[in-house]
Amino acid sequence: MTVTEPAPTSRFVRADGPDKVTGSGRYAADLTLTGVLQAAFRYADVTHGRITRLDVEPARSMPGVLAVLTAADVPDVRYGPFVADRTLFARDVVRFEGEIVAAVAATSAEIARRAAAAIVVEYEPLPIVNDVEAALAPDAPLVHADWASYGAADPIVRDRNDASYASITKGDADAAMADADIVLSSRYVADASHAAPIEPRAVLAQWEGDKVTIWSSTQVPFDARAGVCETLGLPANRVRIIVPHLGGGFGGKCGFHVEAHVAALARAARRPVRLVFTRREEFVVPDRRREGMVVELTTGLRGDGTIVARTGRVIIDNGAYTADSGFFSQLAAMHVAGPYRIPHLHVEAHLVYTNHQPSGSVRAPTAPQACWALESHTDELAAAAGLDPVEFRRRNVVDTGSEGPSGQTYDEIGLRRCVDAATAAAGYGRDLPDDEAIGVAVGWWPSFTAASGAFVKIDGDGSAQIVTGAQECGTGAVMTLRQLAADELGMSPDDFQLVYQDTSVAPYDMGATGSQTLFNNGRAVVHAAGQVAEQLKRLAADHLEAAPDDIVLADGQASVAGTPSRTVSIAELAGIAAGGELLIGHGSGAPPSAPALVGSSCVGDVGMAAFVAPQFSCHAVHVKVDRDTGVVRVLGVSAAHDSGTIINQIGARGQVEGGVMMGIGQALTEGTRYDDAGRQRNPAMLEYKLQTCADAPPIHIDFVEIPTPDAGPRGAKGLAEAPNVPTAAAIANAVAQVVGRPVRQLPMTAERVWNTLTGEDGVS
Amino acid sequence: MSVTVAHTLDEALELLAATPSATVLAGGTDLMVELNMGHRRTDAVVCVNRVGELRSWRHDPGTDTLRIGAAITYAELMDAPLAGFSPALAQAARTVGSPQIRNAATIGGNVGTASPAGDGLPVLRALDAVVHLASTAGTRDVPFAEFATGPKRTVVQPGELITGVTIPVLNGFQGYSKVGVRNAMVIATASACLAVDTNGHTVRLALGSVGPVILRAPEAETIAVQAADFEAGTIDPEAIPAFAAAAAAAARPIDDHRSTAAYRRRAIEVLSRRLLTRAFPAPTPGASS
Repeated sequence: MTVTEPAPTSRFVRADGPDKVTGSGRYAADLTLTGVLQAAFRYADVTHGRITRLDVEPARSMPGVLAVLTAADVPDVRYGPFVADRTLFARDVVRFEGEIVAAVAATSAEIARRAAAAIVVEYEPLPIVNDVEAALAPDAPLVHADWASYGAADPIVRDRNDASYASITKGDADAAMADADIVLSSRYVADASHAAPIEPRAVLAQWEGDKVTIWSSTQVPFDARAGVCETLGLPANRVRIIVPHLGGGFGGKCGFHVEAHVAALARAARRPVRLVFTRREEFVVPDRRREGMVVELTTGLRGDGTIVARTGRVIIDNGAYTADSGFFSQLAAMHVAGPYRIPHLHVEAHLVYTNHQPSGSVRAPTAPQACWALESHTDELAAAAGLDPVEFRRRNVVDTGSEGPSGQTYDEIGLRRCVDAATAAAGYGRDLPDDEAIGVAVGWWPSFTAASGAFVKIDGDGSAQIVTGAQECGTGAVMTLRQLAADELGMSPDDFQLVYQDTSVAPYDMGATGSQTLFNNGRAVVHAAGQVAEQLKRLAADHLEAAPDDIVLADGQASVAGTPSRTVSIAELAGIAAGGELLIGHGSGAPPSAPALVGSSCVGDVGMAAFVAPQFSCHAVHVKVDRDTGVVRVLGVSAAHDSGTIINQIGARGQVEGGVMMGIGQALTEGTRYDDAGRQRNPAMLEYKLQTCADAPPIHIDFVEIPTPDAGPRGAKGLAEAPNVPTAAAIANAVAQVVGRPVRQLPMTAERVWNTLTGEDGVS
Repeated sequence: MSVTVAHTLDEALELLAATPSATVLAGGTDLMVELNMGHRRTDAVVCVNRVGELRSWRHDPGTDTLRIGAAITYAELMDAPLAGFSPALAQAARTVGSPQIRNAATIGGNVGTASPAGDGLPVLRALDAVVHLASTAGTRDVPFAEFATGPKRTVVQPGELITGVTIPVLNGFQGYSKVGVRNAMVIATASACLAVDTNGHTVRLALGSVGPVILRAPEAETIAVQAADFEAGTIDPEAIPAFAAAAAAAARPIDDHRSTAAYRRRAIEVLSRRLLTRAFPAPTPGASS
């Protein structure tokens, strides 16, 4: 397909923009139904304990309470996408502070909260696993004593507190290391952090007979539906998930969370039930915290700075349950290998149970921390080899035709061009004051290939609809689908209304996760629109007495190629179709398959060692460090990305800006701290500092557009997560230049920078 | 819960006399958070931010003092004409919250909450402000130094209302600095206010977030006074480190979830040194900063 790219910046208006900007848009917490009740949860009072007494009578007998549920009131189902270690309500043992012990529905939120607090729970304390490294010791207390009896996905390799072990091995790393001219080892520790969407989640459920409709602020309605079906024992066609406008997600609203609890409450109470999280609950309860991580890396170089071998060990804090985190170990192993040519590699990663909130996919899971560790290590390697850090990367990164660390050979990719663009834009190499520096980091991220579906229809009046399973979480990716359909049909994006975020109306899509919406659903929409285009061409051919192959669709008209006077409007054709064969397309398309790996072996292989349509990036960040206080200011960011063809420039730039800001937060201010019992000490916006507009530096963006075969529509790759990958790493490398050595903890708070400046960081 | 909006000072005081346990609401930037978080419960609220007497300020040229009504907002303190009377208070006001918060938050609320991290408070402590209290029984003035008795604890009695503060208008440098974890909308990890009275030959240094209440650093102040030439606006550079060390020694910081005592003490040393250096620019260009 050849498409002349229009000037998208001039034509793209988000269909959901006016609703959101004017405040007329409705979010899940805005909805109400006649007779609706309010829900509240009783959470675990201890972070690890065996329930010895659970008495809900004080709540049940409270006036205004219509339902109280515990594990005894729902099917005994243990669930989880990789390891089935979770139940809707705690059964016997609680394992983290946000674990749900009981749920209440009452006539007001205040009564529901009071009733939840009145439930009597007593515990026998169990030893708390609070240190992710100690948890791997052979004699460490177990977070799940019955771990071996849990079901798990086939590739998952488990052992006691290690919920998912993965390794990637290529060549003979030990032998190559022994022969290396330079060998350098580093250790880095990253704190956990949070997605922190502006909208805390809300769920509203209503039963009609044996069918339930659930309005939920989820990024993945089909996944949420699957969770409800599995835990409550319902077929998919009796559960309908509808997502109103979603107030941000960043991965935090991926996965199945509390939809089933609210549905079960509504069934028990025989009334609609609504749950709205507080900010504290949004911090503490979901299994979607960005994972804390310990990274140890050793790399061997030849004297000229060429990487010959790498070994690495990553320890990831899984928290108390395995959400979608089962793939983190292999993905983290890929990220500490990095987009480098490494002939001999052995990296391994452990996903380790603790009594912390469970981890789950937050924007580019594992990557910002692993990239931070790897790229800090890389600057140390460059220094050891006596090379400029950018020159070191130019010599060692993968490029078109290279073999990557896991044995994948890349088609045309733009990593070196990203390095060139970002460093040029930042003015890398220019003279700066002593307290300023420019740090550089490279990153990568796969595109995710998945099944996805859409319908496209044109009604009798010529107006069109895209009915899609895709979920819009604020990126604009769903909004961009109109552009693809319009181009396919020779219509304008404004001709299309979107019907989306409803599992009973649209075909399956994985949701706003894995940067996959445009990549996979875009393919489906193009496929579906293509069917309608064929129908239109046949109709036009009949009408204009020409061959279908000679019909051109453009500007809302069907014309005979080379004879512009012979034309009929698409609206008129739609009117004709309304009396006969309706204009309906349904698309899915064939997802691209995973590339081959040669010469490597993977333990715990969940498919993350081969990157489909890999995205590459380089960020160059200019910082200023106050040497007296350790306060770091980011003065400017230059970001260059190879995400293939950019279809929606405005949306794409927004993704890069947002990813960079999230990266600055992770670099400098965002980190969860735990008390001795594994409770979060800062689950509030006052104490967990996100970056604000006032903190935003100028952000320069370059897209290195290399259309990728076997990718999404028009050679597009994913984009939403990639910009979050290298920012923290680039900031770290700039800070290390000023400070004289790396800050080995993330976030690099002023205090940690100051401790590094004064040599009091406890690192020799 | 009853919420009563007072329109005059007398009305507000009568309401408080009738319900001494009532909670006073001005900007609500502290109170609403506490209520929403369930940290505080109240049955009666008296709203005072429409009381004209509290919404006004007055400069007395005779004593050269400024009386600021308790319901004056940080947004008003940031800008002319009030900013001209106390540059440090204006600087502190600029660091408070977001524009929305500054439009609502009041100086009286900041004083009444008595948080050790309150941004306006080191300025009031450095300037030896006086806090004005009123009730139906009469009025009393309390030196700011004696006003707070601990973190979020004050001498205000049931039925009493903070009506304002009075500060001297000083001739000389004033500055407020704080260390926080990001550029804007951030609570102080440590803060300091330095005020120089060129006429009275005093240097005042007050410290925030490093003790149960706002602290002064008298030894540091003495060091500065002895080393300063108030007429020339210069200071013996060798006294600056001693001043900063004495300031750090005066701090009584703790370890908590926001920071450590060691870092806070270090921050006070840096902030104090920088403030004194700004107050007394080095006599010759290029001298140590």
